Amino acid sequence: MKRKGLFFCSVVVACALVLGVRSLNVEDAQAADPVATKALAQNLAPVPAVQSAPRTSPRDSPGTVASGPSIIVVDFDTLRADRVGRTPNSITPNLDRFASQAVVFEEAYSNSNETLFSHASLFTGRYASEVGSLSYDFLLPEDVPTLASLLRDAGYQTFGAFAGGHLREDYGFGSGFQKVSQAMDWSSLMTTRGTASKWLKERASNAPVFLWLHGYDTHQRYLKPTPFGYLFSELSRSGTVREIVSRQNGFREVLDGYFLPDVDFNEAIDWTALRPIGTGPGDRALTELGKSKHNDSVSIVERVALTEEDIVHLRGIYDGAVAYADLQFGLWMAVLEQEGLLDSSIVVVLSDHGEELGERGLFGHRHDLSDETLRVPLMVRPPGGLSQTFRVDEQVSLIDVMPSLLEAAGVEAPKEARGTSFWGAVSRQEQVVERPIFAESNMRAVRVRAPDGALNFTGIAADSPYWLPTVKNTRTSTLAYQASDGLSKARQAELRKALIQWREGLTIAPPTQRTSAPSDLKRALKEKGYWETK
Amino acid sequence: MKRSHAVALVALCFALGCPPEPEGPANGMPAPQLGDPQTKKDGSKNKKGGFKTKKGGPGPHSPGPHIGGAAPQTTLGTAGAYDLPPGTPAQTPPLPAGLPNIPWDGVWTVQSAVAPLMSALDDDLDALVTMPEWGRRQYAGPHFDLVDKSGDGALDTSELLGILASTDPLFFEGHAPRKASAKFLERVQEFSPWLVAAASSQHRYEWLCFQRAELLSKDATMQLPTEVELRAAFTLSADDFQKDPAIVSMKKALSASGTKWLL
Repeated sequence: MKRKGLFFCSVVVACALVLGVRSLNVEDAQAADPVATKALAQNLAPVPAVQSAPRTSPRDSPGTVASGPSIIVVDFDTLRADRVGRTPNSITPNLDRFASQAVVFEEAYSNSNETLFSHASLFTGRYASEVGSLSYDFLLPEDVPTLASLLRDAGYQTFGAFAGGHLREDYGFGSGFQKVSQAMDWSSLMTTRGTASKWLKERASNAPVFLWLHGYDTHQRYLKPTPFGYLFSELSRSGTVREIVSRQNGFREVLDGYFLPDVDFNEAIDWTALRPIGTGPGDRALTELGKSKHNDSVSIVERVALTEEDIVHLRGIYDGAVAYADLQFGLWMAVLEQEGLLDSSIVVVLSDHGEELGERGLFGHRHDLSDETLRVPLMVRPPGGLSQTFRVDEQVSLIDVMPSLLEAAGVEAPKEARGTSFWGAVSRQEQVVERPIFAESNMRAVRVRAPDGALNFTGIAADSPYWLPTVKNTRTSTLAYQASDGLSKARQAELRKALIQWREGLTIAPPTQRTSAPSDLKRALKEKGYWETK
Repeated sequence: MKRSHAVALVALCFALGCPPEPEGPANGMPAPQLGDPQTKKDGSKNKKGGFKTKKGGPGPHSPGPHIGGAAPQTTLGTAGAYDLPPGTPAQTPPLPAGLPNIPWDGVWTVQSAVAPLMSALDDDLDALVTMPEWGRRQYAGPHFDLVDKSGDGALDTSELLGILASTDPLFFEGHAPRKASAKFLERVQEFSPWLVAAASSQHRYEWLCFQRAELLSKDATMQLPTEVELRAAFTLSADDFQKDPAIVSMKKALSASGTKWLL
């Protein structure tokens, strides 16, 4: 399904490749699915675009009545794309049902491996480094238009059911939401869907809603209550895996395929600094640990190698969390059905990033820009739903979500938005223009992904003013570049050029914005491993 | 691993009436008899959705009328066991590789959402989730008798949903029974003002139940309110809550043990 060999020398060239890209056969799709086509025609009549209204105060509604459909986003934090709709042996029956009525983006990628930066892109349609510092001090400035603020200004009722951690108002993510329900950090959809359901039932008017529902059900720690915890892994296994699963930070204590139970990783490793040129997780991480500034205090007494069987067992624990999240989703959809919203609402399912599950010897998402940490589920169910799945195989990224939903609502996207609307694929089953996907992180790495492979550049902070000159003066033959297997030298050069052009087109935010997150929150996040130790 | 394959499989299953019904009871055991421990008094084992409810017909896994033979038994998951010892008996069914496809009419309901899970728990495909089957998946959850509110030896959907709704993943750790995360509790103690402000009544109730269990683990003879009494207190107004005898009793007990009261 991929169009091998077709690619770009730059973003501009990539756009020009539209004509060479396999066309989605709209006529065939319509012939095969006349009901879906009719439903789309009825439910997705063009909504006249309105100019973005001037920003009002954060909680105010401008009094405009929205004409677009309601928009409900279900945001599974840390859900890997390959865990949704797995065949055979799917573990997501409710999401599979949803997919049967939706447009499914098979190749959707996040623009960061971190919740903080990924949500910045989701909410603004821009790269996180454009609007704030690429660090855990990130703060989304109030004057940056967000999906919520633009929809609110267009007359939507806006509500955010945030599950804490890095998705909270302290980082500026409440911008545009008339009300935010802030759950305890790392809460489940079990909690947030309760508050969202309550808000839906008690909302003041029948104006369209924009609701963002977020949950950490598939985030570490994976183990979920009975009967999900050991739904796909043997309860009776003892030893190392049992200890990993039962420990609060057990999965984070797996490094290079070893379990290191006596190392305090938060103190021992500054993960964000673990990216000098040419190094990274994998078999070099333990070496880095040895070089750590905390070397004197680090003593690896015990190091237990994990077997393939152990990894499979641990993945089963994650899968149990996925099944748990799936049930929470099914129960949420029942609420929407009961509220009569499904015929008038766009429902979006997505995740902010993926997760490594033993690849490169690690469990987590903080260490790598890789397909495992970046590929995410993305499904859009138009009002009333489709009568069968419509699949999009072209690459899209989360930065495209904002302009897409704004187009659906008939609201003009801000000119600063970098993403490109894919709404045409949902409403008219149009072809999506394949473009390179860029990702950035606070761990000195950026990535460009094309359909035929990816190129990473590591070693210097992505929002550093020295980034561009460094990349320009570094050839792809050096260790700073890591390319996908099989990617030719010529293609690597093209991707390097795309990286440079991408960065040249961005205005990096001045490093003045800092979060007002309280110190106790920072400490709590640091416990979770989300704060620089330096 | 394309989704198209999954959809095709689902479509095929729909066309064929999938999942296939077993020709007889699983694992070679004879079918259970009327009056056996797993059969309700009215004999209505197989109900709507495949699991016991008051009304409805056979479910997707139903092998038909349950007459003749004894119910399959295993050695796992005895009542009161929060955890299982290493070593799984040979007759334990294999873990599900996935959750089963259950025919769906396109309407989102609570029943349809939970049906695949119920089916996955039903290892012997007799349309009942029994205590041994629950035990095979149990690590830190409540006793089977706490889940099976009706006490009829099998779970129905509402019972399962009841326990899921009262079981917050934030409040469980490792393989211990109803034990809150130690790290989390440290944070509650340290950052109590903003954490408690963010806590729902469900969170607070769970915290109180945990503290109750902790006190009883140190002194099993201690006179403390029951979980039901604590639950009832959370239905009261804020003022009445503080005056409720169960809450007052817990306050005193926690104060005596040196535990900070956070509610």
